[in-house]
Amino acid sequence: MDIQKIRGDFPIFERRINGKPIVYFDSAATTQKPRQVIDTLSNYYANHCANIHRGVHTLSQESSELYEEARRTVARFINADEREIVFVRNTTEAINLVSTCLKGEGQILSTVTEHHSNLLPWGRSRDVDYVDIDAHGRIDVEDLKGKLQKPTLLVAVTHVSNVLGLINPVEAVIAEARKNGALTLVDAAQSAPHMEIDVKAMGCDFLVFSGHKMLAPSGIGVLYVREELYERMEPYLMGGSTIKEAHLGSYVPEEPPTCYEAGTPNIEGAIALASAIDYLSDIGMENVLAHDKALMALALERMKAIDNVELYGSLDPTDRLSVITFNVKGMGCHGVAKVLNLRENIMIRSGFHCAQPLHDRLGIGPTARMSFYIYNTPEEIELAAELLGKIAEFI
Amino acid sequence: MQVYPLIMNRLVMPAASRFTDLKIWDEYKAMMKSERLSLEQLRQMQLTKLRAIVRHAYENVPFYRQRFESIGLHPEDIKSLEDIERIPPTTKDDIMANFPEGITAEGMDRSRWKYVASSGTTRKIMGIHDFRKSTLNWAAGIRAHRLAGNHRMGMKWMEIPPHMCTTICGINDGPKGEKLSTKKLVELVKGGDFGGAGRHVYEGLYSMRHDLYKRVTLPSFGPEGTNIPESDIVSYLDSIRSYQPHLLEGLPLYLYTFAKYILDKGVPAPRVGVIKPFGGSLTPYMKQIIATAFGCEVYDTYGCSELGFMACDCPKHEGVHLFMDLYHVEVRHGDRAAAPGELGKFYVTDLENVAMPWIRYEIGDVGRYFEDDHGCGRRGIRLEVEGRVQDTLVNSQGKFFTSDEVFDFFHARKEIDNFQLTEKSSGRYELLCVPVEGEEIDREGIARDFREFFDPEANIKAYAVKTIKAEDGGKFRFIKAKGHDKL
Ligand SMILES: Cc1ncc(COP(=O)(O)O)c(C=O)c1O
Ligand SMILES: [Zn+2]
Repeated sequence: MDIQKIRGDFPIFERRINGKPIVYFDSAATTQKPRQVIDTLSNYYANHCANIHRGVHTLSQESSELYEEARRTVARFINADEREIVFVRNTTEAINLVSTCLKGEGQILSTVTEHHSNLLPWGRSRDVDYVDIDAHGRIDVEDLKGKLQKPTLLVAVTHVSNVLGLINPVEAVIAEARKNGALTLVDAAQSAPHMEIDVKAMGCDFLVFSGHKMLAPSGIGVLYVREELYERMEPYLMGGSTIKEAHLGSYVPEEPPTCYEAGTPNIEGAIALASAIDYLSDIGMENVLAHDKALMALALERMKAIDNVELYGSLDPTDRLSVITFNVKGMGCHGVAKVLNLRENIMIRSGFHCAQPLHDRLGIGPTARMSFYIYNTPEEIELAAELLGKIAEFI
Repeated sequence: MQVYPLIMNRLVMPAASRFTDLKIWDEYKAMMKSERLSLEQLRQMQLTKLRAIVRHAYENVPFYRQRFESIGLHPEDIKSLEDIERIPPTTKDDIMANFPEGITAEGMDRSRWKYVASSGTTRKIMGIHDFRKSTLNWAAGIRAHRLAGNHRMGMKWMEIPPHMCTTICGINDGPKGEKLSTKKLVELVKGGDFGGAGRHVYEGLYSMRHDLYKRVTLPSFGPEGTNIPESDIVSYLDSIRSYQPHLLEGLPLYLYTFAKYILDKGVPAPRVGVIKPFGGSLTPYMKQIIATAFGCEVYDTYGCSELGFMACDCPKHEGVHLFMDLYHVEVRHGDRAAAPGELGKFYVTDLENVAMPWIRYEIGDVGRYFEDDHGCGRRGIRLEVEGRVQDTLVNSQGKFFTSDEVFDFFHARKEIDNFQLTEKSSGRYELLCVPVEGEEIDREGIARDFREFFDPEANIKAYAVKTIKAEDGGKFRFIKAKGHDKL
């Protein structure tokens, strides 16, 4: 994988602030976009723009075909069938859709390490219990076993934590849930961008992720539904494209997945997501993973060596993916983020990263977070570590 | 005086000075003495300290050394206060591009240095205070309280700072100090570690400072913006009423909102000894409304987190007297020094921060200075702080209007409760107005009066809104200007 060539695809890295390039370490929040994805968007507007499924004219047909081809691309990306792919706005909407539409009794099991998006939707109208984490920060499967003793409708877990970057044992979680007759939803917002996902091998019932965290535009996300489960789901939003026939007072519903995509969807977003997936597939997800892991190993090694920096979660690089969370003693996380930004344009996150319960569970305040992706280089990590060392060891 | 403040002021603080290296009380006493010096004596003191800090920065701070060498300036060249103009100004970008190791003194003991930064995510500046500077700043705080409003340590104090989103975004991320423990203190003293004992007392007092000060903090207005529900205003007033603070501090808009409410509804005001702004300064109109509503004295102070307490008001309320023993402030109009009373930008030199010298720091405020003796007994120059540089408007004839002036212009209209003026492209202005209850926005009248007040060519459009949103850090910007770089 030729990282300089990849960087060349991202116009943002040509930008200079105070004469210096940007070091973007906030890909866990959203990624930068390659020229290929930007071009797909402008090409769509320039050549194919039309509403889908509603016209016999050339543009509408082209647009519909591009949109459905995008669905197939997404399906292949996670080894699903195209009928199992619902386009939504983002991970958050996908989870809300499942929590609103899924019929059935029993508690929901979430975990303390979830993003607020995989906590709050469940609490709205159901009983929720929270699985704890183990000493390394991963989901505690023993605790899960205990909590599954109560009748459970669904277990909702994150594949990779957006705070600790730890890869959770989702296969074990799914196996335990299955044994107890519970369904599973995997939040792949932080994993789908970095590693190959095979929903069939994983065995989950629902899987969700966002396009904007994997080179695509904001406003397009994916909900995978294991096909048989559509029968256990109520309609979601109603309106255009959710029905086959409408009469005043009655209707015949459309087939899934279309019936879950009410109104005009984010057509260009879906098409651009497919283009992002093509971009990643050209690189090869195994190469993406290897690159991200190598960066993580380097970052862990450099950060561990700095006095006064406290790292959270397991320090074994094989446990982790792409996210590293820390604090500098005697200095608030926002201060750290400010200094990195103002001195070297190193853009990192600071705060609770939408996972306040996890911070509470770890007994820590807000944290600073660096996250990496395909366009980041070892040199950038060296630069950040050097500067961080200066700040942390200064006082 | 009540018993607790008496103990704090007569016993605890002097004892801390006597027995530990925490010399707040001694410094405070020395500062109060300097308040009785003549302007000439103060200037002499400034010159001595300025020459020392410039020499120190040149010899020990890489950033300043390079700066001075690149223009061939030597510390010896600074012979008078006016010579400071030969040193190039230091911008926030300069500071942050070199922070921390390039902008701090080499070869010093850093063990008791502290990072300082305003809380909140927006302000883009950080600083470092060494132990002496922290002590001085603590003393300067006591001095400002004493001189402006006669508030003494231990009297009840209530504050309403602007920071919103304190829990969800985790804005309050400052380091927490160690609690004071008698056991640990005894151990340290027994072991003969008096330095350690002193440090422990300092850390302990520092972490307890809110309790020691009887200081209570109320939450900010939050994301609702300027116009919070009436019931919220009532509950703020109830909290103030039941605590009866001697000192009430709050974001200017908060204090102004309470004052307007008290006057409009004719409700009795809570009993408060003195009111001061926090996180911004009051405009003359705000001061007048607040003083009338609460029936108490309103004092101003001036400072910022990276430097510290810099100046405070006197009972004459004609600007804040600079702490000239601690800071040097120049007011500049374009590329020349402003005359007394003339508008300009402030450049601040911290005469006491040895760890991280700030020399001709462009602090980002605009205002005027006055050096005449107005008879209050304090001879430090007076500063009239009128807003931020980036909130200053300039009209087509090149005349400047500070945010204070513009604020007071709009608030003099009976139909405007709150507003925000944004300069779009040159000559075009967008005005958001929250109308006073039961009033209509007079679009024509506003446009006509604004043209007369500001610029005959100004094209202003007014829109009615329900509230004006705060900026990221919870503070408000009522004027968003463009042309200020000419100032
Ligand atoms: C693990 C995880 N889940 C869910 C989300 C929410 O994603 P979105 O904001 O795209 O809905 C995020 C985004 O930060 C995440 O990291
Ligand atoms: Zn005076």
